[in-house]
Amino acid sequence: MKLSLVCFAAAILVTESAQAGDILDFPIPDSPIVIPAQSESGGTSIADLIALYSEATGQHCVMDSATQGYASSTPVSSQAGGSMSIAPERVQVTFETLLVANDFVLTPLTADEPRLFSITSLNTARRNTVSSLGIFLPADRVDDAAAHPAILFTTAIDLPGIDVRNLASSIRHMFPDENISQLLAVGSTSSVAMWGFGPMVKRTRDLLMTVKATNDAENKVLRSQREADEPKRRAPSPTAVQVRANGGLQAVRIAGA
Amino acid sequence: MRLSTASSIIAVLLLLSGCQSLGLGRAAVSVPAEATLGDVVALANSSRASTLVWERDSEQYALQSLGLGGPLRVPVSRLDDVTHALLLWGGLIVIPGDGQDRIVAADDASPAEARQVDRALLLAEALPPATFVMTTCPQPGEAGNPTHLRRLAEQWGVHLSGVDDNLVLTGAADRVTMVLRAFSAI
Repeated sequence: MKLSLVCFAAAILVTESAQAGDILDFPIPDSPIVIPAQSESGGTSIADLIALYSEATGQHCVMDSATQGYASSTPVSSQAGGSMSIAPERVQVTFETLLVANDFVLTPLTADEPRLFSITSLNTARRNTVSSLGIFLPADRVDDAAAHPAILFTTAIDLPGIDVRNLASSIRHMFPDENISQLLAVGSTSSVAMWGFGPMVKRTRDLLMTVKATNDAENKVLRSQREADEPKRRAPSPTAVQVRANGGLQAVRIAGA
Repeated sequence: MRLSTASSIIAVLLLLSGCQSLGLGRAAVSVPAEATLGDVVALANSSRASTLVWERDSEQYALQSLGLGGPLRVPVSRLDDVTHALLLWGGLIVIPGDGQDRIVAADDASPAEARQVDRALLLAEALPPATFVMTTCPQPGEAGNPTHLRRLAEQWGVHLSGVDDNLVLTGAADRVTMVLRAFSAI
């Protein structure tokens, strides 16, 4: 009996661990990674950085041939002077920051082992279709997007009480390239859909929520003013009483004449 | 005693299924660093994880390099999903058929060839990600004309058409699932 219970518990543990993971749970390396200093013979390229990251996290990268070319020829831009050591818990966000600073997009392809991700250069023809790589994130998980500057996300935000068509058209200039950032009013609903890199999606969501909070506060003030004015509006005004009285006198005169 | 024997059998079966899901105790294949999409499909076919054939005109995609930094080890139990993920990344979809599935460029696939599936199946992520599917979903909220939703769906390469209050979504299973999730948030 004891044996069967142990077997059963082990089975549940193994089965649970076999379930799909979260695509945004990236492995954290065991130790810091070091990007070597630039040398006269050349510096660290984006391709080298990807190799370092892949090795440290045990993930595998896929790239089309045009992106491979750009990755090999693009030096890591933020590397002035000495080597750069990145703490394990900062590896993911630093890697993504360096990618996006050099016009590369990261897309996780699998949530389970083997972990695969793709890198796409925005300087290739794939820029036109890169929005299809966006990951849908529910509105309540948009905060998670902030830590992923090189991943494209799509989300939908509900803004009841706001004219979303007007809002979307008035801030359209904030999204100049619809391949990598866009805000759309969805039909006649009170929702907007948007896509873009993680921090941008979070910032825009915060902006929209501020607009909504301001709008809600204004509506509350207007509503309480209206409620305060309601008794006055219902009570007959002195002028109206006078007019009614005059009308009555005239009526008496007409009847008497 | 009978109860304990029965529960032991169930436990062992569950353990085996869990191990298989993890790829333990089963063979794994190695994808070479210089592999192309065609090589991965050939590996998947040889391991009997699937039977995929390249449609005429999509064969050029088979030559697409994956640019893997090093060899990739894939448990056989995960080979189908990994192959689908890579095909989807390469702009391809898989049209399910009898006995063998066809690989077609997503842009060239006709919605008429999509496999009709229930959206619950998609939301449960029960299908390989590049499977070409068609599903219906109720029009979200008071969205009005479906053309308003079309741009959102097209962002993921999903074709959207409207039938009264029901929308018809056609595309790769993984992408259609994302559209369904976005629509449910509206």
